[in-house]
Amino acid sequence: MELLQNYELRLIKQANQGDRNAFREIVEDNKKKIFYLAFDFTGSIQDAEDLSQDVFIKAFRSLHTFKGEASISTWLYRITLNTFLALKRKKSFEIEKNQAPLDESVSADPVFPGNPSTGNPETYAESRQMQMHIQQALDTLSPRERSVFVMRHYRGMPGKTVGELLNISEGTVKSLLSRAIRKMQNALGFYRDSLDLGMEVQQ
Amino acid sequence: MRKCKKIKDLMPDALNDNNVLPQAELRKLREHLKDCQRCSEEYKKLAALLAVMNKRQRPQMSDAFWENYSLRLEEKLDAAEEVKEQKSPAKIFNLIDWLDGFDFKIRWVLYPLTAAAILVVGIAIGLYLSHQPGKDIMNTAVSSLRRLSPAVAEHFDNVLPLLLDYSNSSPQQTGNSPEENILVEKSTVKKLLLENQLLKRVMTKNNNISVNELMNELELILLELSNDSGDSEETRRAVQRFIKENNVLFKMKTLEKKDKQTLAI
Ligand SMILES: [Zn+2]
Repeated sequence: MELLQNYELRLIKQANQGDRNAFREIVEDNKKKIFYLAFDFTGSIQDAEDLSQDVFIKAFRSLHTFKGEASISTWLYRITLNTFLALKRKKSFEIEKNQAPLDESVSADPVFPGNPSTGNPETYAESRQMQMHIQQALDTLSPRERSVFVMRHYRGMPGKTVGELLNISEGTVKSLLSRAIRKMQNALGFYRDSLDLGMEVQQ
Repeated sequence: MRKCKKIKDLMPDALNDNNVLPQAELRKLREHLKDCQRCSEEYKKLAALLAVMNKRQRPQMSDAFWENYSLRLEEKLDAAEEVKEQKSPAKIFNLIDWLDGFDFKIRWVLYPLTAAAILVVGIAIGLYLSHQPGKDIMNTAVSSLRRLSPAVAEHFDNVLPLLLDYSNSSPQQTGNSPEENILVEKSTVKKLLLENQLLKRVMTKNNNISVNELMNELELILLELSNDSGDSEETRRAVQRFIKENNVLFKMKTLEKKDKQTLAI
Protein backbone atom coordinates (compact mmCIF):
# COMPACT_ATOMS: atom_id res chain seq x y z
CA MET A 1 0.00 0.00 0.00
CA GLU A 2 2.80 2.31 1.03
CA LEU A 3 4.73 1.29 -2.04
CA LEU A 4 1.80 1.85 -4.34
CA GLN A 5 1.30 5.31 -2.95
CA ASN A 6 4.93 6.19 -3.45
CA TYR A 7 4.74 4.91 -6.98
CA GLU A 8 1.68 7.02 -7.72
CA LEU A 9 3.11 10.13 -6.14
CA ARG A 10 6.28 9.72 -8.17
CA LEU A 11 4.25 9.30 -11.35
CA ILE A 12 2.20 12.38 -10.63
CA LYS A 13 5.29 14.38 -9.78
CA GLN A 14 7.03 13.41 -13.00
CA ALA A 15 3.94 13.97 -15.10
CA ASN A 16 3.48 17.32 -13.47
CA GLN A 17 7.00 18.26 -14.46
CA GLY A 18 6.02 17.69 -18.06
CA ASP A 19 7.08 14.07 -18.36
CA ARG A 20 4.67 12.74 -20.97
CA ASN A 21 5.79 9.17 -20.32
CA ALA A 22 4.77 9.40 -16.70
CA PHE A 23 1.38 10.61 -17.76
CA ARG A 24 1.16 7.81 -20.31
CA GLU A 25 1.75 5.36 -17.51
CA ILE A 26 -1.14 6.86 -15.58
CA VAL A 27 -3.33 6.51 -18.66
CA GLU A 28 -2.28 2.91 -19.28
CA ASP A 29 -2.94 1.98 -15.67
CA ASN A 30 -6.40 3.49 -15.66
CA LYS A 31 -7.85 3.70 -19.14
CA LYS A 32 -9.95 0.55 -18.94
CA LYS A 33 -11.31 1.38 -15.52
CA ILE A 34 -12.27 4.89 -16.56
CA PHE A 35 -13.63 3.87 -19.94
CA TYR A 36 -15.92 1.26 -18.42
CA LEU A 37 -17.03 3.60 -15.67
CA ALA A 38 -17.87 6.13 -18.39
CA PHE A 39 -19.64 3.38 -20.28
CA ASP A 40 -21.78 2.59 -17.25
CA PHE A 41 -22.59 6.26 -16.85
CA THR A 42 -23.43 6.95 -20.47
CA GLY A 43 -24.41 3.59 -21.96
CA SER A 44 -22.71 4.09 -25.29
CA ILE A 45 -19.25 3.30 -26.56
CA GLN A 46 -18.83 6.61 -28.34
CA ASP A 47 -19.91 8.58 -25.28
CA ALA A 48 -17.69 6.46 -23.09
CA GLU A 49 -14.79 7.23 -25.39
CA ASP A 50 -15.50 10.95 -25.38
CA LEU A 51 -16.15 11.19 -21.69
CA SER A 52 -13.18 9.10 -20.63
CA GLN A 53 -10.80 10.95 -22.91
CA ASP A 54 -12.08 14.25 -21.56
CA VAL A 55 -11.31 12.92 -18.13
CA PHE A 56 -7.68 12.23 -19.01
CA ILE A 57 -7.29 15.60 -20.67
CA LYS A 58 -8.67 17.30 -17.57
CA ALA A 59 -6.44 15.16 -15.41
CA PHE A 60 -3.43 16.15 -17.48
CA ARG A 61 -4.24 19.80 -17.01
CA SER A 62 -4.84 19.54 -13.31
CA LEU A 63 -1.96 17.31 -12.35
CA HIS A 64 -0.73 20.04 -10.06
CA THR A 65 -3.91 19.80 -8.00
CA PHE A 66 -3.32 16.15 -7.12
CA LYS A 67 -2.15 16.09 -3.55
CA GLY A 68 -2.09 12.39 -2.95
CA GLU A 69 -4.79 12.13 -0.27
CA ALA A 70 -6.59 9.72 -2.55
CA SER A 71 -5.33 7.20 -5.04
CA ILE A 72 -4.95 8.22 -8.65
CA SER A 73 -7.94 6.14 -9.65
CA THR A 74 -10.15 7.76 -7.01
CA TRP A 75 -9.00 11.12 -8.28
CA LEU A 76 -9.86 10.04 -11.82
CA TYR A 77 -13.23 8.70 -10.65
CA ARG A 78 -14.01 12.08 -9.23
CA ILE A 79 -13.11 13.81 -12.48
CA THR A 80 -15.20 11.28 -14.42
CA LEU A 81 -18.16 11.87 -12.18
CA ASN A 82 -17.89 15.64 -12.32
CA THR A 83 -17.42 15.66 -16.07
CA PHE A 84 -20.38 13.36 -16.57
CA LEU A 85 -22.64 15.44 -14.34
CA ALA A 86 -21.49 18.67 -15.95
CA LEU A 87 -22.19 17.26 -19.39
CA LYS A 88 -25.64 16.23 -18.33
CA ARG A 89 -26.25 19.63 -16.79
CA LYS A 90 -25.36 21.33 -20.00
CA LYS A 91 -27.65 18.90 -21.78
CA SER A 92 -25.37 19.15 -24.73
CA PHE A 93 -24.56 15.50 -24.56
CA GLU A 94 -27.45 14.30 -26.65
CA ILE A 95 -26.90 16.90 -29.32
CA GLU A 96 -23.23 16.14 -29.47
CA LYS A 97 -23.93 12.45 -29.65
CA ASN A 98 -26.11 12.87 -32.67
CA GLN A 99 -23.65 15.05 -34.50
CA ALA A 100 -20.44 13.27 -33.77
CA PRO A 101 -19.55 10.65 -36.33
CA LEU A 102 -18.19 7.45 -34.97
CA ASP A 103 -14.49 7.03 -35.26
CA GLU A 104 -13.52 4.11 -37.43
CA SER A 105 -11.72 2.30 -34.70
CA VAL A 106 -14.37 3.07 -32.13
CA SER A 107 -17.18 1.60 -34.12
CA ALA A 108 -15.10 -1.48 -34.84
CA ASP A 109 -17.60 -4.07 -33.81
CA PRO A 110 -17.17 -4.59 -30.11
CA VAL A 111 -17.53 -8.20 -29.18
CA PHE A 112 -20.36 -8.61 -26.76
CA PRO A 113 -20.58 -11.86 -24.93
CA GLY A 114 -23.52 -13.57 -26.57
CA ASN A 115 -22.56 -12.39 -30.01
CA PRO A 116 -24.67 -14.17 -32.65
CA SER A 117 -21.64 -15.81 -34.14
CA THR A 118 -20.77 -17.52 -30.88
CA GLY A 119 -24.10 -18.46 -29.32
CA ASN A 120 -27.39 -19.76 -30.49
CA PRO A 121 -29.51 -17.09 -32.17
CA GLU A 122 -32.48 -17.37 -29.85
CA THR A 123 -30.45 -16.90 -26.70
CA TYR A 124 -28.72 -14.05 -28.41
CA ALA A 125 -31.97 -12.33 -29.35
CA GLU A 126 -33.27 -12.86 -25.85
CA SER A 127 -30.17 -11.46 -24.31
CA ARG A 128 -30.15 -8.51 -26.72
CA GLN A 129 -33.65 -7.73 -25.63
CA MET A 130 -32.73 -7.93 -22.01
CA GLN A 131 -29.74 -5.66 -22.62
CA MET A 132 -32.11 -3.18 -24.17
CA HIS A 133 -34.42 -3.33 -21.15
CA ILE A 134 -31.53 -2.91 -18.75
CA GLN A 135 -30.36 0.08 -20.71
CA GLN A 136 -33.84 1.57 -20.66
CA ALA A 137 -34.09 1.04 -16.92
CA LEU A 138 -30.78 2.82 -16.41
CA ASP A 139 -31.94 5.62 -18.66
CA THR A 140 -34.89 6.34 -16.39
CA LEU A 141 -32.45 7.44 -13.69
CA SER A 142 -31.30 10.97 -13.14
CA PRO A 143 -27.55 11.46 -13.63
CA ARG A 144 -26.98 11.49 -9.89
CA GLU A 145 -29.13 8.44 -9.24
CA ARG A 146 -27.36 6.65 -12.03
CA SER A 147 -23.90 7.48 -10.82
CA VAL A 148 -24.79 6.41 -7.30
CA PHE A 149 -26.19 3.11 -8.55
CA VAL A 150 -23.21 2.48 -10.80
CA MET A 151 -20.66 3.24 -8.14
CA ARG A 152 -22.46 1.54 -5.27
CA HIS A 153 -23.80 -1.54 -7.01
CA TYR A 154 -21.61 -2.14 -10.05
CA ARG A 155 -18.38 -0.94 -8.45
CA GLY A 156 -19.13 -1.91 -4.87
CA MET A 157 -17.87 1.43 -3.58
CA PRO A 158 -18.76 2.22 0.04
CA GLY A 159 -21.51 4.78 0.51
CA LYS A 160 -19.07 6.99 2.35
CA THR A 161 -16.71 7.14 -0.64
CA VAL A 162 -19.53 7.80 -3.06
CA GLY A 163 -20.76 10.59 -0.81
CA GLU A 164 -17.31 12.13 -0.76
CA LEU A 165 -17.00 11.90 -4.53
CA LEU A 166 -20.37 13.58 -4.99
CA ASN A 167 -19.96 16.01 -2.11
CA ILE A 168 -23.12 14.75 -0.48
CA SER A 169 -23.87 13.02 2.82
CA GLU A 170 -23.99 9.28 3.18
CA GLY A 171 -27.70 9.64 3.93
CA THR A 172 -28.28 11.34 0.60
CA VAL A 173 -26.39 8.55 -1.13
CA LYS A 174 -28.76 6.08 0.49
CA SER A 175 -31.86 7.90 -0.61
CA LEU A 176 -30.54 8.37 -4.14
CA LEU A 177 -29.84 4.66 -4.26
CA SER A 178 -33.29 3.65 -3.09
CA ARG A 179 -34.87 6.11 -5.49
CA ALA A 180 -32.84 4.58 -8.31
CA ILE A 181 -33.91 1.10 -7.25
CA ARG A 182 -37.57 2.07 -7.13
CA LYS A 183 -37.41 3.59 -10.60
CA MET A 184 -35.72 0.54 -12.06
CA GLN A 185 -38.20 -1.77 -10.36
CA ASN A 186 -40.96 0.11 -12.11
CA ALA A 187 -39.15 -0.09 -15.41
CA LEU A 188 -38.32 -3.78 -15.11
CA GLY A 189 -41.40 -4.95 -13.24
CA PHE A 190 -42.29 -7.40 -15.98
CA TYR A 191 -39.17 -9.43 -15.27
CA ARG A 192 -40.14 -10.02 -11.68
CA ASP A 193 -42.23 -13.12 -12.13
CA SER A 194 -39.75 -14.90 -14.30
CA LEU A 195 -36.87 -14.09 -12.01
CA ASP A 196 -38.63 -14.52 -8.69
CA LEU A 197 -38.25 -18.28 -8.92
CA GLY A 198 -35.26 -19.55 -7.09
CA MET A 199 -34.65 -16.19 -5.52
CA GLU A 200 -35.43 -17.40 -2.02
CA VAL A 201 -33.49 -15.70 0.68
CA GLN A 202 -30.35 -17.63 1.31
CA GLN A 203 -30.37 -18.68 4.92
CA MET B 1 -40.62 -0.35 12.20
CA ARG B 2 -37.50 1.66 12.70
CA LYS B 3 -35.55 -1.53 12.51
CA CYS B 4 -37.12 -2.30 9.13
CA LYS B 5 -35.80 0.96 7.74
CA LYS B 6 -32.30 0.10 8.88
CA ILE B 7 -32.56 -3.36 7.42
CA LYS B 8 -33.78 -1.97 4.12
CA ASP B 9 -30.67 0.15 3.89
CA LEU B 10 -28.52 -2.95 4.22
CA MET B 11 -30.23 -4.82 1.42
CA PRO B 12 -28.44 -3.44 -1.63
CA ASP B 13 -25.08 -4.15 -0.02
CA ALA B 14 -26.17 -7.62 0.98
CA LEU B 15 -26.93 -8.29 -2.67
CA ASN B 16 -23.71 -6.78 -3.92
CA ASP B 17 -21.31 -9.12 -5.63
CA ASN B 18 -18.36 -7.27 -4.19
CA ASN B 19 -18.89 -8.56 -0.62
CA VAL B 20 -19.25 -5.09 0.74
CA LEU B 21 -21.41 -5.90 3.74
CA PRO B 22 -19.60 -7.00 6.90
CA GLN B 23 -20.57 -10.45 8.15
CA ALA B 24 -22.13 -9.13 11.32
CA GLU B 25 -24.50 -6.90 9.39
CA LEU B 26 -25.33 -9.71 7.03
CA ARG B 27 -26.31 -11.93 9.97
CA LYS B 28 -28.47 -9.17 11.39
CA LEU B 29 -30.24 -8.86 8.07
CA ARG B 30 -30.88 -12.56 7.74
CA GLU B 31 -32.20 -12.80 11.27
CA HIS B 32 -34.61 -10.01 10.55
CA LEU B 33 -35.81 -11.45 7.26
CA LYS B 34 -36.80 -14.68 9.03
CA ASP B 35 -39.22 -12.80 11.25
CA CYS B 36 -40.37 -9.97 9.00
CA GLN B 37 -42.62 -10.86 6.13
CA ARG B 38 -42.58 -7.38 4.65
CA CYS B 39 -38.83 -7.01 4.54
CA SER B 40 -38.54 -10.51 3.19
CA GLU B 41 -40.80 -9.61 0.28
CA GLU B 42 -38.89 -6.43 -0.25
CA TYR B 43 -35.66 -8.33 -0.28
CA LYS B 44 -36.89 -10.78 -2.89
CA LYS B 45 -38.09 -7.98 -5.10
CA LEU B 46 -34.75 -6.26 -4.85
CA ALA B 47 -32.85 -9.47 -5.50
CA ALA B 48 -34.90 -10.03 -8.64
CA LEU B 49 -34.16 -6.55 -9.90
CA LEU B 50 -30.46 -6.72 -9.19
CA ALA B 51 -30.25 -10.15 -10.78
CA VAL B 52 -31.49 -8.57 -13.99
CA MET B 53 -29.22 -5.56 -13.66
CA ASN B 54 -26.27 -7.86 -13.07
CA LYS B 55 -26.84 -9.38 -16.47
CA ARG B 56 -25.73 -6.13 -18.00
CA GLN B 57 -23.06 -6.77 -20.59
CA ARG B 58 -20.23 -4.45 -21.35
CA PRO B 59 -18.56 -4.34 -24.72
CA GLN B 60 -15.24 -6.09 -24.93
CA MET B 61 -12.99 -3.79 -26.81
CA SER B 62 -10.22 -5.22 -28.91
CA ASP B 63 -6.52 -4.80 -28.20
CA ALA B 64 -6.35 -2.54 -31.23
CA PHE B 65 -9.02 -0.36 -29.71
CA TRP B 66 -7.03 0.06 -26.52
CA GLU B 67 -3.85 0.77 -28.38
CA ASN B 68 -5.57 3.36 -30.52
CA TYR B 69 -7.32 4.73 -27.49
CA SER B 70 -4.02 5.96 -26.16
CA LEU B 71 -3.03 7.37 -29.54
CA ARG B 72 -6.33 9.19 -29.89
CA LEU B 73 -5.84 10.66 -26.46
CA GLU B 74 -2.34 11.83 -27.30
CA GLU B 75 -3.62 13.52 -30.40
CA LYS B 76 -6.22 15.34 -28.39
CA LEU B 77 -3.59 16.39 -25.88
CA ASP B 78 -1.36 17.62 -28.69
CA ALA B 79 -4.26 19.50 -30.19
CA ALA B 80 -5.04 21.10 -26.85
CA GLU B 81 -1.41 22.13 -26.47
CA GLU B 82 -1.38 23.54 -29.99
CA VAL B 83 -4.43 25.65 -29.33
CA LYS B 84 -2.63 27.04 -26.32
CA GLU B 85 0.43 27.81 -28.41
CA GLN B 86 -1.58 29.37 -31.20
CA LYS B 87 -2.98 31.84 -28.76
CA SER B 88 0.45 33.42 -28.52
CA PRO B 89 0.56 36.32 -31.00
CA ALA B 90 2.80 37.13 -33.96
CA LYS B 91 2.96 33.61 -35.25
CA ILE B 92 1.73 34.20 -38.74
CA PHE B 93 3.69 37.44 -39.23
CA ASN B 94 2.48 39.43 -42.17
CA LEU B 95 1.20 36.63 -44.34
CA ILE B 96 -2.41 37.61 -43.96
CA ASP B 97 -1.62 41.12 -45.18
CA TRP B 98 0.38 39.71 -48.01
CA LEU B 99 -2.48 37.45 -48.97
CA ASP B 100 -5.02 40.23 -48.81
CA GLY B 101 -3.15 41.89 -51.62
CA PHE B 102 -4.56 39.28 -53.97
CA ASP B 103 -7.88 39.19 -55.69
CA PHE B 104 -10.60 37.50 -53.76
CA LYS B 105 -10.80 34.69 -56.24
CA ILE B 106 -7.17 33.88 -55.94
CA ARG B 107 -7.13 34.16 -52.22
CA TRP B 108 -9.29 31.16 -51.65
CA VAL B 109 -6.54 29.07 -53.10
CA LEU B 110 -3.71 30.93 -51.48
CA TYR B 111 -5.09 30.84 -47.97
CA PRO B 112 -5.28 27.08 -47.79
CA LEU B 113 -2.01 26.65 -49.58
CA THR B 114 -0.32 29.11 -47.28
CA ALA B 115 -1.74 27.37 -44.27
CA ALA B 116 -0.56 24.06 -45.65
CA ALA B 117 2.85 25.52 -46.36
CA ILE B 118 3.14 26.93 -42.85
CA LEU B 119 2.19 23.55 -41.50
CA VAL B 120 4.74 21.81 -43.65
CA VAL B 121 7.51 24.19 -42.65
CA GLY B 122 6.55 23.80 -39.01
CA ILE B 123 6.66 20.06 -39.18
CA ALA B 124 9.88 20.10 -41.15
CA ILE B 125 11.50 22.28 -38.52
CA GLY B 126 10.12 19.98 -35.88
CA LEU B 127 11.60 16.99 -37.61
CA TYR B 128 14.91 18.72 -38.04
CA LEU B 129 15.10 19.68 -34.41
CA SER B 130 13.99 16.26 -33.28
CA HIS B 131 17.13 14.79 -34.72
CA GLN B 132 19.10 16.89 -32.31
CA PRO B 133 19.24 15.44 -28.85
CA GLY B 134 17.49 17.20 -25.99
CA LYS B 135 15.03 19.25 -27.97
CA ASP B 136 11.88 18.34 -26.11
CA ILE B 137 9.98 21.42 -27.13
CA MET B 138 9.37 20.13 -30.58
CA ASN B 139 8.09 16.80 -29.37
CA THR B 140 4.48 17.67 -30.01
CA ALA B 141 4.96 18.58 -33.65
CA VAL B 142 6.96 15.47 -34.31
CA SER B 143 4.81 13.10 -32.37
CA SER B 144 1.69 14.40 -34.05
CA LEU B 145 3.30 13.62 -37.35
CA ARG B 146 4.29 10.19 -36.25
CA ARG B 147 0.68 9.46 -35.54
CA LEU B 148 -0.67 10.29 -38.93
CA SER B 149 -2.84 7.29 -39.46
CA PRO B 150 -1.81 5.05 -42.37
CA ALA B 151 -5.05 5.93 -44.14
CA VAL B 152 -4.31 9.64 -43.95
CA ALA B 153 -0.71 9.17 -45.00
CA GLU B 154 -1.90 7.18 -47.98
CA HIS B 155 -4.38 9.87 -48.82
CA PHE B 156 -1.63 12.47 -48.78
CA ASP B 157 0.35 10.19 -51.06
CA ASN B 158 -2.56 10.26 -53.46
CA VAL B 159 -3.10 13.99 -53.35
CA LEU B 160 0.51 15.05 -53.75
CA PRO B 161 0.94 13.75 -57.35
CA LEU B 162 -2.21 15.57 -58.30
CA LEU B 163 -0.91 18.83 -56.92
CA LEU B 164 2.36 18.13 -58.70
CA ASP B 165 0.58 17.58 -61.99
CA TYR B 166 -1.43 20.66 -61.45
CA SER B 167 1.48 22.92 -60.71
CA ASN B 168 3.64 21.52 -63.50
CA SER B 169 1.02 21.83 -66.17
CA SER B 170 1.72 24.57 -68.68
CA PRO B 171 -0.57 27.52 -69.34
CA GLN B 172 -3.50 26.79 -71.55
CA GLN B 173 -2.76 28.30 -74.88
CA THR B 174 -4.60 27.77 -78.06
CA GLY B 175 -1.36 26.83 -79.76
CA ASN B 176 -0.62 24.01 -77.40
CA SER B 177 -1.42 20.43 -78.22
CA PRO B 178 -4.22 18.85 -76.15
CA GLU B 179 -1.65 16.81 -74.21
CA GLU B 180 0.08 19.94 -73.04
CA ASN B 181 -3.18 21.40 -71.94
CA ILE B 182 -4.10 18.38 -69.93
CA LEU B 183 -5.08 19.18 -66.42
CA VAL B 184 -5.87 16.91 -63.58
CA GLU B 185 -8.53 14.34 -64.35
CA LYS B 186 -11.87 15.45 -62.96
CA SER B 187 -12.76 11.92 -61.95
CA THR B 188 -9.53 11.60 -60.00
CA VAL B 189 -10.17 14.88 -58.28
CA LYS B 190 -13.66 13.77 -57.36
CA LYS B 191 -12.40 10.48 -56.03
CA LEU B 192 -9.80 12.24 -53.92
CA LEU B 193 -12.36 14.73 -52.76
CA LEU B 194 -14.61 11.93 -51.58
CA GLU B 195 -11.70 10.20 -49.91
CA ASN B 196 -10.81 13.45 -48.22
CA GLN B 197 -14.34 13.98 -46.98
CA LEU B 198 -14.66 10.46 -45.67
CA LEU B 199 -11.33 10.61 -43.87
CA LYS B 200 -12.24 13.94 -42.43
CA ARG B 201 -15.43 12.54 -41.05
CA VAL B 202 -13.61 9.65 -39.49
CA MET B 203 -10.99 11.89 -37.98
CA THR B 204 -13.13 14.80 -36.88
CA LYS B 205 -12.91 14.17 -33.21
CA ASN B 206 -9.60 12.55 -32.77
CA ASN B 207 -6.99 13.94 -34.98
CA ASN B 208 -4.86 16.84 -34.10
CA ILE B 209 -5.83 20.26 -35.24
CA SER B 210 -3.10 20.79 -37.80
CA VAL B 211 -3.94 17.62 -39.68
CA ASN B 212 -7.62 18.48 -39.53
CA GLU B 213 -6.90 21.93 -40.87
CA LEU B 214 -4.81 20.52 -43.64
CA MET B 215 -7.64 18.18 -44.55
CA ASN B 216 -10.05 21.09 -44.62
CA GLU B 217 -7.74 22.97 -46.86
CA LEU B 218 -7.19 20.06 -49.17
CA GLU B 219 -10.92 19.71 -49.40
CA LEU B 220 -11.26 23.31 -50.49
CA ILE B 221 -8.62 22.86 -53.15
CA LEU B 222 -10.12 19.62 -54.39
CA LEU B 223 -13.59 21.10 -54.38
CA GLU B 224 -12.44 23.98 -56.47
CA LEU B 225 -10.50 21.78 -58.85
CA SER B 226 -13.54 19.60 -59.35
CA ASN B 227 -15.58 22.64 -60.29
CA ASP B 228 -15.89 23.74 -63.86
CA SER B 229 -13.85 26.85 -63.10
CA GLY B 230 -11.14 24.70 -61.60
CA ASP B 231 -8.92 24.91 -64.61
CA SER B 232 -9.26 28.61 -65.12
CA GLU B 233 -6.03 30.22 -66.14
CA GLU B 234 -6.13 32.82 -63.41
CA THR B 235 -6.39 30.32 -60.61
CA ARG B 236 -3.74 28.14 -62.07
CA ARG B 237 -1.18 30.84 -62.51
CA ALA B 238 -1.62 32.15 -58.99
CA VAL B 239 -1.27 28.69 -57.55
CA GLN B 240 1.74 27.87 -59.65
CA ARG B 241 3.51 31.05 -58.70
CA PHE B 242 2.74 30.54 -55.08
CA ILE B 243 3.98 26.97 -55.16
CA LYS B 244 7.20 27.99 -56.82
CA GLU B 245 7.90 30.96 -54.62
CA ASN B 246 7.40 28.99 -51.49
CA ASN B 247 8.98 25.71 -52.44
CA VAL B 248 5.74 24.02 -51.53
CA LEU B 249 6.34 20.90 -53.53
CA PHE B 250 9.82 20.44 -52.21
CA LYS B 251 8.56 20.72 -48.69
CA MET B 252 5.68 18.39 -49.31
CA LYS B 253 8.01 15.77 -50.71
CA THR B 254 10.27 16.16 -47.73
CA LEU B 255 7.32 15.78 -45.46
CA GLU B 256 6.18 12.73 -47.29
CA LYS B 257 9.56 11.12 -47.02
CA LYS B 258 9.95 12.00 -43.38
CA ASP B 259 6.44 10.88 -42.80
CA LYS B 260 7.16 7.43 -44.18
CA GLN B 261 10.27 7.13 -42.08
CA THR B 262 8.47 8.03 -38.92
CA LEU B 263 5.53 5.84 -39.76
CA ALA B 264 7.87 2.95 -40.16
CA ILE B 265 9.10 3.25 -36.62
ZN1 LIG C 1 -38.82 -5.66 8.55
